[in-house]
Amino acid sequence: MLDIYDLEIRHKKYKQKQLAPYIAISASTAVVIASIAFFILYDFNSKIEEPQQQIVIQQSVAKPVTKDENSTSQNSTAKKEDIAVAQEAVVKPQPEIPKEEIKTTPIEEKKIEEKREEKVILSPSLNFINSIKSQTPPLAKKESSNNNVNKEVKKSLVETQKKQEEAVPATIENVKQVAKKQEVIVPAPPVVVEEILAPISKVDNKNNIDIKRKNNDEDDIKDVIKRFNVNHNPALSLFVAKRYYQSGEYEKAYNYALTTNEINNNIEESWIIFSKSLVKMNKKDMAIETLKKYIGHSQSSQAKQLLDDIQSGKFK
Amino acid sequence: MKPSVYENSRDVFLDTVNANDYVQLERVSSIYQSLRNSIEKPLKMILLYGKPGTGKSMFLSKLHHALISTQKAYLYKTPILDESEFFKTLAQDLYDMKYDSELNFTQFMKVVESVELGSAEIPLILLDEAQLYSTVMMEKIRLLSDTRKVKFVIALHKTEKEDLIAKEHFQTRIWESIKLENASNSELKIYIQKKLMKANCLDTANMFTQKSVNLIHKLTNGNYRNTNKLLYSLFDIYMYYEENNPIKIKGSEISTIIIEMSAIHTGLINA
Repeated sequence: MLDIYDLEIRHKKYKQKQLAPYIAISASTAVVIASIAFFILYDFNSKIEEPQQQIVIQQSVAKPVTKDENSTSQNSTAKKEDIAVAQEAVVKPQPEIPKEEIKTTPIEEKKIEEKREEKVILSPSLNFINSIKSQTPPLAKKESSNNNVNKEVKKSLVETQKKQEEAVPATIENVKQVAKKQEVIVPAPPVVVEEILAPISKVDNKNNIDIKRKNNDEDDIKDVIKRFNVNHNPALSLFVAKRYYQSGEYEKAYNYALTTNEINNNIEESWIIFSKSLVKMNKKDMAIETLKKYIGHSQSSQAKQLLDDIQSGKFK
Repeated sequence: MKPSVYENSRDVFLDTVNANDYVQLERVSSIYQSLRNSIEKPLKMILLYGKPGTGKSMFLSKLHHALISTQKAYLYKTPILDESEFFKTLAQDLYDMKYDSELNFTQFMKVVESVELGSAEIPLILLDEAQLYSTVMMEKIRLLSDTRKVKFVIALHKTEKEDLIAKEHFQTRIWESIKLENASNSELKIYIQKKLMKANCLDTANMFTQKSVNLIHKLTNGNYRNTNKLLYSLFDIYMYYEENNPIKIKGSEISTIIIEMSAIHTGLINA
Protein backbone atom coordinates (compact mmCIF):
# COMPACT_ATOMS: atom_id res chain seq x y z
CA MET A 1 0.00 0.00 0.00
CA LEU A 2 1.26 3.41 -0.96
CA ASP A 3 1.93 5.96 1.74
CA ILE A 4 1.18 9.00 -0.40
CA TYR A 5 1.68 11.51 2.39
CA ASP A 6 5.20 10.20 3.05
CA LEU A 7 5.85 10.09 -0.68
CA GLU A 8 4.80 13.71 -1.07
CA ILE A 9 7.14 14.81 1.71
CA ARG A 10 10.00 12.85 0.18
CA HIS A 11 9.23 14.41 -3.18
CA LYS A 12 9.31 17.90 -1.68
CA LYS A 13 12.69 17.17 -0.14
CA TYR A 14 13.89 15.78 -3.44
CA LYS A 15 12.83 18.93 -5.28
CA GLN A 16 14.54 21.06 -2.68
CA LYS A 17 17.71 19.02 -3.11
CA GLN A 18 17.38 19.30 -6.86
CA LEU A 19 16.97 23.07 -6.74
CA ALA A 20 19.66 23.61 -4.12
CA PRO A 21 22.59 23.76 -6.55
CA TYR A 22 20.70 26.16 -8.83
CA ILE A 23 19.85 28.37 -5.88
CA ALA A 24 23.45 28.19 -4.70
CA ILE A 25 24.77 29.06 -8.16
CA SER A 26 22.33 31.94 -8.63
CA ALA A 27 23.05 33.22 -5.12
CA SER A 28 26.79 33.02 -5.66
CA THR A 29 26.54 34.76 -9.03
CA ALA A 30 24.40 37.45 -7.40
CA VAL A 31 27.03 37.87 -4.69
CA VAL A 32 29.79 38.02 -7.28
CA ILE A 33 27.91 40.60 -9.33
CA ALA A 34 27.14 42.63 -6.23
CA SER A 35 30.76 42.51 -5.09
CA ILE A 36 32.00 43.50 -8.55
CA ALA A 37 29.53 46.37 -8.60
CA PHE A 38 30.59 47.37 -5.11
CA PHE A 39 34.28 47.37 -6.03
CA ILE A 40 33.61 49.36 -9.16
CA LEU A 41 31.63 51.93 -7.20
CA TYR A 42 34.19 51.90 -4.41
CA ASP A 43 37.04 52.64 -6.82
CA PHE A 44 35.01 55.36 -8.41
CA ASN A 45 34.30 57.01 -5.08
CA SER A 46 37.89 56.77 -3.97
CA LYS A 47 38.98 58.36 -7.22
CA ILE A 48 36.68 61.24 -6.50
CA GLU A 49 37.72 61.59 -2.88
CA GLU A 50 41.49 61.65 -3.34
CA PRO A 51 41.66 64.56 -5.76
CA GLN A 52 39.32 66.56 -3.55
CA GLN A 53 41.88 66.36 -0.78
CA GLN A 54 44.56 67.47 -3.18
CA ILE A 55 42.48 70.33 -4.34
CA VAL A 56 42.14 71.58 -0.79
CA ILE A 57 45.91 71.68 -0.49
CA GLN A 58 46.28 73.26 -3.87
CA GLN A 59 43.69 75.88 -3.16
CA SER A 60 45.59 76.90 -0.06
CA VAL A 61 48.65 77.18 -2.26
CA ALA A 62 46.69 79.05 -4.84
CA LYS A 63 45.88 82.00 -2.62
CA PRO A 64 49.26 83.77 -2.73
CA VAL A 65 49.38 83.15 -6.42
CA THR A 66 46.14 85.01 -6.97
CA LYS A 67 47.74 87.96 -5.28
CA ASP A 68 50.67 87.68 -7.64
CA GLU A 69 48.22 87.42 -10.43
CA ASN A 70 46.69 90.66 -9.28
CA SER A 71 50.06 92.29 -9.35
CA THR A 72 50.73 90.89 -12.79
CA SER A 73 47.29 91.95 -13.83
CA GLN A 74 48.17 95.37 -12.56
CA ASN A 75 51.27 95.18 -14.67
CA SER A 76 49.18 94.10 -17.57
CA THR A 77 46.75 96.97 -17.00
CA ALA A 78 49.67 99.33 -16.83
CA LYS A 79 50.91 97.78 -20.02
CA LYS A 80 47.51 98.27 -21.57
CA GLU A 81 47.55 101.90 -20.52
CA ASP A 82 50.97 102.32 -22.05
CA ILE A 83 49.76 100.82 -25.25
CA ALA A 84 46.63 102.91 -25.25
CA VAL A 85 48.63 106.06 -24.70
CA ALA A 86 51.05 105.05 -27.35
CA GLN A 87 48.18 104.56 -29.73
CA GLU A 88 47.17 108.10 -29.00
CA ALA A 89 50.51 109.11 -30.45
CA VAL A 90 49.04 107.97 -33.77
CA VAL A 91 51.64 105.26 -34.35
CA LYS A 92 49.38 102.36 -35.26
CA PRO A 93 51.71 99.38 -35.82
CA GLN A 94 53.42 100.03 -32.56
CA PRO A 95 55.44 97.10 -31.22
CA GLU A 96 54.71 95.96 -27.72
CA ILE A 97 56.89 97.22 -24.94
CA PRO A 98 59.36 94.56 -23.87
CA LYS A 99 58.84 92.70 -20.60
CA GLU A 100 61.80 94.33 -18.99
CA GLU A 101 60.04 97.62 -19.34
CA ILE A 102 56.81 96.19 -17.97
CA LYS A 103 58.57 94.86 -14.95
CA THR A 104 59.80 98.26 -13.88
CA THR A 105 60.29 99.08 -10.26
CA PRO A 106 57.52 100.89 -8.41
CA ILE A 107 59.66 104.05 -8.27
CA GLU A 108 59.96 104.13 -12.02
CA GLU A 109 56.24 103.56 -12.37
CA LYS A 110 55.60 106.43 -10.07
CA LYS A 111 57.90 108.65 -12.09
CA ILE A 112 56.08 107.69 -15.26
CA GLU A 113 52.76 108.41 -13.66
CA GLU A 114 54.01 111.79 -12.50
CA LYS A 115 55.26 112.52 -15.98
CA ARG A 116 51.88 111.54 -17.41
CA GLU A 117 50.16 113.87 -15.05
CA GLU A 118 52.51 116.67 -16.01
CA LYS A 119 52.57 116.11 -19.73
CA VAL A 120 48.91 115.21 -19.94
CA ILE A 121 48.60 113.72 -23.42
CA LEU A 122 51.97 113.88 -24.99
CA SER A 123 54.13 112.16 -22.42
CA PRO A 124 53.51 108.56 -23.57
CA SER A 125 54.54 109.37 -27.10
CA LEU A 126 57.76 110.66 -25.67
CA ASN A 127 58.41 107.32 -24.03
CA PHE A 128 57.82 105.61 -27.28
CA ILE A 129 60.19 107.94 -29.03
CA ASN A 130 62.70 107.34 -26.27
CA SER A 131 62.48 103.65 -26.84
CA ILE A 132 63.03 104.16 -30.54
CA LYS A 133 65.97 106.30 -29.70
CA SER A 134 67.45 103.62 -27.49
CA GLN A 135 67.16 101.13 -30.31
CA THR A 136 68.40 103.25 -33.18
CA PRO A 137 72.07 103.90 -32.25
CA PRO A 138 73.29 100.31 -32.66
CA LEU A 139 71.56 100.25 -36.00
CA ALA A 140 73.46 103.30 -37.00
CA LYS A 141 76.69 101.60 -36.03
CA LYS A 142 75.93 98.29 -37.63
CA GLU A 143 74.49 99.57 -40.83
CA SER A 144 76.72 102.32 -42.12
CA SER A 145 74.83 102.35 -45.41
CA ASN A 146 71.62 103.65 -43.93
CA ASN A 147 69.71 105.87 -46.24
CA ASN A 148 69.29 109.58 -45.85
CA VAL A 149 65.76 109.30 -44.66
CA ASN A 150 66.90 107.39 -41.60
CA LYS A 151 69.48 110.02 -40.82
CA GLU A 152 66.92 112.72 -41.15
CA VAL A 153 64.59 110.84 -38.90
CA LYS A 154 67.34 110.42 -36.38
CA LYS A 155 68.08 114.05 -36.45
CA SER A 156 64.45 114.95 -36.14
CA LEU A 157 64.07 112.51 -33.28
CA VAL A 158 67.09 113.93 -31.51
CA GLU A 159 65.76 117.38 -32.05
CA THR A 160 62.33 116.52 -30.78
CA GLN A 161 63.86 114.79 -27.80
CA LYS A 162 65.93 117.79 -26.99
CA LYS A 163 62.93 119.97 -27.41
CA GLN A 164 60.91 117.75 -25.18
CA GLU A 165 63.59 117.79 -22.55
CA GLU A 166 63.53 121.50 -22.74
CA ALA A 167 59.76 121.48 -22.71
CA VAL A 168 59.45 119.65 -19.38
CA PRO A 169 59.75 122.74 -17.24
CA ALA A 170 58.09 124.87 -19.92
CA THR A 171 54.67 126.43 -19.81
CA ILE A 172 51.51 125.12 -21.47
CA GLU A 173 52.24 127.30 -24.44
CA ASN A 174 55.50 125.58 -24.95
CA VAL A 175 53.68 122.31 -24.77
CA LYS A 176 51.28 123.49 -27.43
CA GLN A 177 54.19 124.52 -29.58
CA VAL A 178 55.74 121.13 -29.18
CA ALA A 179 52.40 119.62 -30.00
CA LYS A 180 52.21 121.69 -33.14
CA LYS A 181 55.65 120.52 -34.09
CA GLN A 182 54.65 116.98 -33.47
CA GLU A 183 51.54 117.51 -35.48
CA VAL A 184 53.81 118.51 -38.22
CA ILE A 185 55.71 115.32 -37.78
CA VAL A 186 52.59 113.27 -37.32
CA PRO A 187 51.96 112.49 -41.00
CA ALA A 188 55.50 111.26 -41.33
CA PRO A 189 55.88 108.81 -38.42
CA PRO A 190 53.58 106.02 -39.65
CA VAL A 191 55.72 105.73 -42.72
CA VAL A 192 58.98 106.54 -41.04
CA VAL A 193 58.46 104.24 -38.12
CA GLU A 194 57.71 101.41 -40.42
CA GLU A 195 60.92 102.07 -42.21
CA ILE A 196 62.74 102.15 -38.94
CA LEU A 197 61.11 98.94 -37.84
CA ALA A 198 62.31 97.14 -40.89
CA PRO A 199 65.99 97.24 -39.97
CA ILE A 200 65.09 96.45 -36.37
CA SER A 201 63.30 93.36 -37.50
CA LYS A 202 66.38 92.40 -39.44
CA VAL A 203 68.55 92.67 -36.38
CA ASP A 204 66.15 91.17 -33.86
CA ASN A 205 63.59 89.14 -35.70
CA LYS A 206 62.78 86.88 -32.77
CA ASN A 207 61.53 89.69 -30.59
CA ASN A 208 59.29 90.95 -33.31
CA ILE A 209 57.74 87.54 -34.02
CA ASP A 210 57.25 86.86 -30.37
CA ILE A 211 55.44 90.06 -29.84
CA LYS A 212 53.06 89.44 -32.67
CA ARG A 213 52.34 85.95 -31.50
CA LYS A 214 51.78 87.15 -28.02
CA ASN A 215 49.23 89.59 -29.22
CA ASN A 216 47.44 86.83 -31.11
CA ASP A 217 47.72 84.45 -28.19
CA GLU A 218 46.32 86.97 -25.82
CA ASP A 219 43.35 87.54 -28.05
CA ASP A 220 42.87 83.81 -28.40
CA ILE A 221 43.25 83.23 -24.71
CA LYS A 222 40.83 86.05 -23.87
CA ASP A 223 38.34 84.57 -26.24
CA VAL A 224 38.84 81.11 -24.78
CA ILE A 225 38.57 82.47 -21.24
CA LYS A 226 35.28 84.16 -22.15
CA ARG A 227 33.99 80.89 -23.52
CA PHE A 228 35.25 79.04 -20.48
CA ASN A 229 33.48 81.46 -18.15
CA VAL A 230 30.25 80.68 -19.96
CA ASN A 231 30.36 76.90 -20.21
CA HIS A 232 33.12 75.88 -17.71
CA ASN A 233 34.50 73.33 -20.12
CA PRO A 234 37.69 71.83 -18.65
CA ALA A 235 39.13 71.43 -22.15
CA LEU A 236 39.08 75.21 -22.52
CA SER A 237 40.70 75.89 -19.15
CA LEU A 238 43.33 73.28 -19.97
CA PHE A 239 43.96 75.02 -23.28
CA VAL A 240 44.42 78.32 -21.46
CA ALA A 241 46.72 76.69 -18.90
CA LYS A 242 48.83 75.19 -21.67
CA ARG A 243 49.04 78.48 -23.53
CA TYR A 244 50.05 80.36 -20.40
CA TYR A 245 52.63 77.71 -19.63
CA GLN A 246 54.05 77.94 -23.14
CA SER A 247 54.23 81.69 -22.85
CA GLY A 248 56.03 81.40 -19.53
CA GLU A 249 53.19 82.73 -17.39
CA TYR A 250 53.45 79.89 -14.96
CA GLU A 251 51.26 81.37 -12.25
CA LYS A 252 48.37 81.75 -14.64
CA ALA A 253 49.09 78.33 -16.07
CA TYR A 254 49.02 76.99 -12.51
CA ASN A 255 45.71 78.66 -11.77
CA TYR A 256 44.01 77.42 -14.91
CA ALA A 257 45.39 73.90 -14.45
CA LEU A 258 44.03 74.02 -10.90
CA THR A 259 40.65 75.16 -12.20
CA THR A 260 40.71 72.33 -14.73
CA ASN A 261 41.48 69.81 -12.02
CA GLU A 262 38.63 71.13 -9.91
CA ILE A 263 36.21 70.57 -12.76
CA ASN A 264 37.66 67.22 -13.84
CA ASN A 265 40.31 65.58 -11.74
CA ASN A 266 41.12 62.84 -14.24
CA ILE A 267 42.81 64.91 -16.93
CA GLU A 268 46.41 63.75 -16.93
CA GLU A 269 47.67 66.65 -19.03
CA SER A 270 46.22 69.16 -16.60
CA TRP A 271 48.05 67.55 -13.68
CA ILE A 272 51.26 67.58 -15.70
CA ILE A 273 50.90 71.32 -16.49
CA PHE A 274 49.97 71.95 -12.88
CA SER A 275 53.10 70.18 -11.60
CA LYS A 276 55.38 71.72 -14.21
CA SER A 277 54.07 75.17 -13.32
CA LEU A 278 54.78 74.49 -9.67
CA VAL A 279 58.36 73.55 -10.53
CA LYS A 280 58.71 76.69 -12.58
CA MET A 281 57.40 78.66 -9.64
CA ASN A 282 60.18 77.14 -7.50
CA LYS A 283 57.74 74.95 -5.64
CA LYS A 284 59.46 71.71 -6.53
CA ASP A 285 58.50 69.92 -3.31
CA MET A 286 54.86 70.69 -3.80
CA ALA A 287 55.07 69.54 -7.42
CA ILE A 288 56.63 66.23 -6.31
CA GLU A 289 54.00 65.77 -3.63
CA THR A 290 51.17 66.52 -6.06
CA LEU A 291 52.57 64.15 -8.67
CA LYS A 292 53.01 61.37 -6.13
CA LYS A 293 49.40 61.70 -5.04
CA TYR A 294 48.20 61.76 -8.60
CA ILE A 295 50.32 58.71 -9.53
CA GLY A 296 48.93 57.00 -6.43
CA HIS A 297 45.45 56.91 -7.83
CA SER A 298 45.99 57.08 -11.58
CA GLN A 299 49.22 55.12 -12.27
CA SER A 300 49.96 57.63 -15.00
CA SER A 301 53.21 56.76 -16.77
CA GLN A 302 53.62 60.31 -18.02
CA ALA A 303 53.27 61.64 -14.49
CA LYS A 304 55.80 59.06 -13.29
CA GLN A 305 58.27 60.14 -15.92
CA LEU A 306 57.80 63.78 -15.01
CA LEU A 307 58.28 62.94 -11.35
CA ASP A 308 61.54 61.18 -12.16
CA ASP A 309 62.67 64.11 -14.26
CA ILE A 310 61.87 66.56 -11.49
CA GLN A 311 63.54 64.45 -8.83
CA SER A 312 66.62 63.85 -10.93
CA GLY A 313 66.79 67.52 -11.84
CA LYS A 314 66.28 66.98 -15.55
CA PHE A 315 63.22 69.16 -15.42
CA LYS A 316 63.85 72.52 -13.84
CA MET B 1 -17.49 -1.92 -8.84
CA LYS B 2 -16.00 -1.20 -12.24
CA PRO B 3 -12.22 -0.92 -12.16
CA SER B 4 -10.92 2.52 -13.01
CA VAL B 5 -8.87 3.23 -16.11
CA TYR B 6 -5.86 3.78 -13.89
CA GLU B 7 -6.25 0.39 -12.29
CA ASN B 8 -6.32 -1.32 -15.69
CA SER B 9 -3.34 0.68 -16.79
CA ARG B 10 -1.49 -0.23 -13.64
CA ASP B 11 -2.03 -3.93 -14.17
CA VAL B 12 -0.60 -3.68 -17.67
CA PHE B 13 2.76 -3.00 -16.11
CA LEU B 14 2.82 -5.92 -13.70
CA ASP B 15 6.31 -7.35 -14.06
CA THR B 16 5.40 -10.71 -15.49
CA VAL B 17 6.95 -12.65 -18.35
CA ASN B 18 4.10 -13.49 -20.63
CA ALA B 19 4.60 -14.05 -24.33
CA ASN B 20 1.20 -12.53 -25.01
CA ASP B 21 2.34 -9.27 -23.49
CA TYR B 22 5.30 -9.11 -25.79
CA VAL B 23 5.50 -5.70 -27.45
CA GLN B 24 6.81 -5.72 -30.95
CA LEU B 25 9.29 -2.94 -31.38
CA GLU B 26 11.05 -2.37 -34.67
CA ARG B 27 14.55 -3.03 -33.42
CA VAL B 28 13.53 -5.91 -31.18
CA SER B 29 11.49 -7.53 -33.94
CA SER B 30 14.47 -7.47 -36.30
CA ILE B 31 16.56 -9.11 -33.59
CA TYR B 32 13.85 -11.61 -33.05
CA GLN B 33 13.73 -12.42 -36.73
CA SER B 34 17.49 -12.92 -36.90
CA LEU B 35 17.24 -15.25 -33.91
CA ARG B 36 14.54 -17.24 -35.65
CA ASN B 37 16.80 -17.54 -38.68
CA SER B 38 19.72 -18.61 -36.55
CA ILE B 39 17.73 -21.38 -34.95
CA GLU B 40 16.94 -22.85 -38.34
CA LYS B 41 20.64 -23.08 -39.10
CA PRO B 42 22.67 -26.05 -37.80
CA LEU B 43 24.11 -24.03 -34.94
CA LYS B 44 25.24 -25.52 -31.69
CA MET B 45 24.64 -22.57 -29.42
CA ILE B 46 23.08 -19.13 -29.53
CA LEU B 47 24.02 -16.62 -26.90
CA LEU B 48 21.52 -13.97 -25.94
CA TYR B 49 22.92 -11.40 -23.62
CA GLY B 50 22.15 -7.98 -22.22
CA LYS B 51 21.71 -6.04 -19.03
CA PRO B 52 18.99 -7.06 -16.59
CA GLY B 53 15.59 -5.84 -17.67
CA THR B 54 16.44 -5.54 -21.34
CA GLY B 55 13.87 -8.18 -22.24
CA LYS B 56 15.88 -11.39 -22.47
CA SER B 57 13.37 -13.45 -20.56
CA MET B 58 10.49 -11.99 -22.54
CA PHE B 59 12.46 -12.67 -25.70
CA LEU B 60 12.99 -16.33 -24.79
CA SER B 61 9.39 -16.62 -23.75
CA LYS B 62 8.22 -15.17 -27.04
CA LEU B 63 10.56 -17.46 -28.96
CA HIS B 64 9.43 -20.50 -27.03
CA HIS B 65 5.84 -19.54 -27.60
CA ALA B 66 6.45 -19.17 -31.33
CA LEU B 67 8.45 -22.38 -31.75
CA ILE B 68 6.56 -24.78 -29.58
CA SER B 69 3.92 -25.44 -32.21
CA THR B 70 6.48 -26.36 -34.89
CA GLN B 71 9.34 -28.05 -33.06
CA LYS B 72 10.56 -29.40 -29.78
CA ALA B 73 11.50 -26.40 -27.67
CA TYR B 74 11.97 -26.38 -23.95
CA LEU B 75 12.27 -23.25 -21.89
CA TYR B 76 13.90 -23.33 -18.49
CA LYS B 77 13.20 -19.95 -16.91
CA THR B 78 15.02 -20.76 -13.71
CA PRO B 79 18.31 -22.62 -13.73
CA ILE B 80 18.41 -26.17 -12.46
CA LEU B 81 21.54 -25.98 -10.44
CA ASP B 82 21.80 -29.61 -9.39
CA GLU B 83 23.61 -31.52 -12.13
CA SER B 84 21.73 -34.79 -11.79
CA GLU B 85 18.43 -33.00 -11.62
CA PHE B 86 19.33 -30.98 -14.69
CA PHE B 87 20.13 -34.07 -16.78
CA LYS B 88 17.14 -36.02 -15.47
CA THR B 89 14.83 -33.10 -16.42
CA LEU B 90 16.39 -32.94 -19.90
CA ALA B 91 16.09 -36.74 -20.37
CA GLN B 92 12.47 -36.67 -19.43
CA ASP B 93 11.56 -33.59 -21.54
CA LEU B 94 13.63 -34.51 -24.60
CA TYR B 95 13.30 -38.28 -24.66
CA ASP B 96 10.51 -39.09 -22.20
CA MET B 97 12.95 -41.06 -20.07
CA LYS B 98 12.29 -41.09 -16.38
CA TYR B 99 15.16 -41.68 -14.02
CA ASP B 100 14.45 -42.24 -10.37
CA SER B 101 18.08 -42.69 -9.49
CA GLU B 102 20.98 -40.35 -10.14
CA LEU B 103 21.80 -39.46 -13.75
CA ASN B 104 25.28 -38.17 -14.28
CA PHE B 105 26.71 -36.43 -17.32
CA THR B 106 28.33 -39.56 -18.81
CA GLN B 107 25.09 -41.54 -18.61
CA PHE B 108 23.12 -38.68 -20.16
CA MET B 109 25.66 -38.32 -22.97
CA LYS B 110 25.21 -42.02 -23.82
CA VAL B 111 21.47 -41.48 -23.96
CA VAL B 112 21.82 -38.45 -26.23
CA GLU B 113 24.25 -40.18 -28.57
CA SER B 114 22.04 -43.25 -28.84
CA VAL B 115 19.08 -41.23 -30.11
CA GLU B 116 18.84 -40.94 -33.84
CA LEU B 117 17.05 -37.73 -34.91
CA GLY B 118 16.47 -35.92 -38.16
CA SER B 119 17.81 -32.42 -38.48
CA ALA B 120 14.30 -30.95 -38.18
CA GLU B 121 13.71 -32.81 -34.99
CA ILE B 122 16.69 -31.53 -33.09
CA PRO B 123 15.25 -30.20 -29.85
CA LEU B 124 15.91 -26.62 -28.74
CA ILE B 125 16.67 -25.88 -25.12
CA LEU B 126 16.21 -22.34 -23.93
CA LEU B 127 18.14 -21.59 -20.76
CA ASP B 128 17.34 -18.34 -19.01
CA GLU B 129 19.55 -16.83 -16.30
CA ALA B 130 22.41 -19.01 -17.51
CA GLN B 131 24.91 -16.90 -15.61
CA LEU B 132 23.82 -18.84 -12.52
CA TYR B 133 25.14 -22.12 -13.85
CA SER B 134 28.55 -23.11 -12.64
CA THR B 135 31.51 -23.11 -14.95
CA VAL B 136 31.71 -26.89 -14.85
CA MET B 137 28.05 -27.12 -15.72
CA MET B 138 28.50 -24.73 -18.57
CA GLU B 139 31.35 -26.84 -19.86
CA LYS B 140 29.10 -29.90 -19.85
CA ILE B 141 26.39 -27.96 -21.68
CA ARG B 142 29.01 -27.10 -24.28
CA LEU B 143 29.95 -30.77 -24.67
CA LEU B 144 26.27 -31.64 -25.05
CA SER B 145 25.90 -29.11 -27.85
CA ASP B 146 28.96 -30.61 -29.54
CA THR B 147 26.98 -33.82 -30.09
CA ARG B 148 24.72 -31.83 -32.47
CA LYS B 149 21.80 -33.75 -31.00
CA VAL B 150 20.55 -30.75 -29.06
CA LYS B 151 20.61 -26.94 -29.60
CA PHE B 152 20.93 -24.38 -26.87
CA VAL B 153 19.82 -20.78 -26.63
CA ILE B 154 21.46 -19.34 -23.58
CA ALA B 155 20.34 -16.06 -22.11
CA LEU B 156 22.60 -14.39 -19.59
CA HIS B 157 23.26 -10.97 -18.09
CA LYS B 158 26.01 -9.12 -19.73
CA THR B 159 28.59 -8.34 -17.11
CA GLU B 160 32.34 -8.52 -17.19
CA LYS B 161 32.13 -11.98 -15.69
CA GLU B 162 29.68 -13.15 -18.31
CA ASP B 163 31.84 -11.75 -21.02
CA LEU B 164 34.67 -13.85 -19.70
CA ILE B 165 32.51 -16.94 -19.67
CA ALA B 166 31.42 -16.25 -23.20
CA LYS B 167 34.95 -15.80 -24.35
CA GLU B 168 36.58 -18.62 -22.48
CA HIS B 169 34.05 -21.39 -22.83
CA PHE B 170 31.90 -20.65 -25.78
CA GLN B 171 33.93 -18.58 -28.12
CA THR B 172 34.49 -21.38 -30.60
CA ARG B 173 31.04 -22.91 -30.26
CA ILE B 174 28.83 -19.87 -30.22
CA TRP B 175 27.71 -19.36 -33.76
CA GLU B 176 25.36 -16.56 -33.04
CA SER B 177 25.56 -13.91 -30.40
CA ILE B 178 22.70 -11.50 -29.94
CA LYS B 179 22.80 -8.50 -27.69
CA LEU B 180 19.71 -6.90 -26.23
CA GLU B 181 19.83 -3.29 -25.16
CA ASN B 182 17.71 -0.77 -23.31
CA ALA B 183 15.06 1.10 -25.23
CA SER B 184 15.66 4.50 -26.72
CA ASN B 185 13.32 7.44 -25.97
CA SER B 186 11.12 6.82 -28.98
CA GLU B 187 11.13 3.03 -28.43
CA LEU B 188 10.12 3.53 -24.84
CA LYS B 189 7.20 5.70 -25.86
CA ILE B 190 6.05 3.06 -28.37
CA TYR B 191 6.54 0.34 -25.76
CA ILE B 192 4.41 2.15 -23.17
CA GLN B 193 1.69 3.17 -25.56
CA LYS B 194 1.49 -0.22 -27.29
CA LYS B 195 1.33 -1.95 -23.95
CA LEU B 196 -1.52 0.29 -22.80
CA MET B 197 -3.38 0.09 -26.08
CA LYS B 198 -3.22 -3.69 -26.00
CA ALA B 199 -5.22 -3.43 -22.77
CA ASN B 200 -7.59 -0.88 -24.32
CA CYS B 201 -6.27 1.92 -22.11
CA LEU B 202 -6.28 4.48 -24.90
CA ASP B 203 -6.89 7.46 -22.62
CA THR B 204 -3.90 6.77 -20.46
CA ALA B 205 -1.80 5.89 -23.51
CA ASN B 206 -2.49 9.35 -24.91
CA MET B 207 -1.41 10.95 -21.65
CA PHE B 208 2.19 10.01 -22.32
CA THR B 209 3.74 12.92 -24.17
CA GLN B 210 7.31 12.84 -25.39
CA LYS B 211 8.23 15.11 -22.48
CA SER B 212 6.92 12.67 -19.86
CA VAL B 213 8.46 9.73 -21.71
CA ASN B 214 11.79 11.56 -21.77
CA LEU B 215 11.61 11.94 -18.03
CA ILE B 216 10.73 8.26 -17.61
CA HIS B 217 13.61 7.33 -19.90
CA LYS B 218 15.92 9.53 -17.90
CA LEU B 219 14.86 7.78 -14.72
CA THR B 220 14.83 4.22 -16.03
CA ASN B 221 17.52 4.56 -18.66
CA GLY B 222 15.17 2.78 -21.04
CA ASN B 223 15.20 -0.40 -18.99
CA TYR B 224 11.95 -2.27 -19.55
CA ARG B 225 11.73 -3.82 -16.11
CA ASN B 226 12.35 -0.50 -14.37
CA THR B 227 9.85 1.18 -16.67
CA ASN B 228 7.25 -1.43 -15.79
CA LYS B 229 7.90 -0.93 -12.10
CA LEU B 230 7.77 2.84 -12.40
CA LEU B 231 4.56 2.88 -14.40
CA TYR B 232 2.91 0.40 -12.11
CA SER B 233 3.70 2.65 -9.19
CA LEU B 234 2.65 5.71 -11.17
CA PHE B 235 -0.80 4.38 -11.90
CA ASP B 236 -1.05 3.24 -8.31
CA ILE B 237 -0.57 6.86 -7.24
CA TYR B 238 -3.05 7.99 -9.87
CA MET B 239 -5.55 5.59 -8.42
CA TYR B 240 -5.02 7.04 -4.96
CA TYR B 241 -5.48 10.61 -6.16
CA GLU B 242 -8.50 9.62 -8.19
CA GLU B 243 -10.15 8.50 -5.00
CA ASN B 244 -8.83 11.06 -2.55
CA ASN B 245 -7.64 14.17 -4.33
CA PRO B 246 -8.78 14.24 -7.97
CA ILE B 247 -7.70 17.86 -8.42
CA LYS B 248 -4.09 16.70 -8.51
CA ILE B 249 -4.59 14.57 -11.60
CA LYS B 250 -6.89 16.80 -13.61
CA GLY B 251 -4.26 17.46 -16.31
CA SER B 252 -4.42 15.79 -19.70
CA GLU B 253 -0.78 14.72 -19.46
CA ILE B 254 1.04 12.49 -17.07
CA SER B 255 2.11 14.64 -14.13
CA THR B 256 5.85 15.12 -13.79
CA ILE B 257 5.44 15.28 -10.04
CA ILE B 258 3.73 11.91 -9.95
CA ILE B 259 6.42 10.41 -12.19
CA GLU B 260 9.02 11.65 -9.74
CA MET B 261 7.00 10.41 -6.78
CA SER B 262 6.72 6.96 -8.31
CA ALA B 263 10.46 7.03 -9.06
CA ILE B 264 11.08 7.81 -5.39
CA HIS B 265 8.76 5.01 -4.42
CA THR B 266 10.47 2.47 -6.67
CA GLY B 267 13.91 3.59 -5.64
CA LEU B 268 14.91 5.04 -8.98
CA ILE B 269 15.32 8.38 -7.24
CA ASN B 270 17.19 8.36 -3.99
CA ALA B 271 15.35 10.94 -1.93
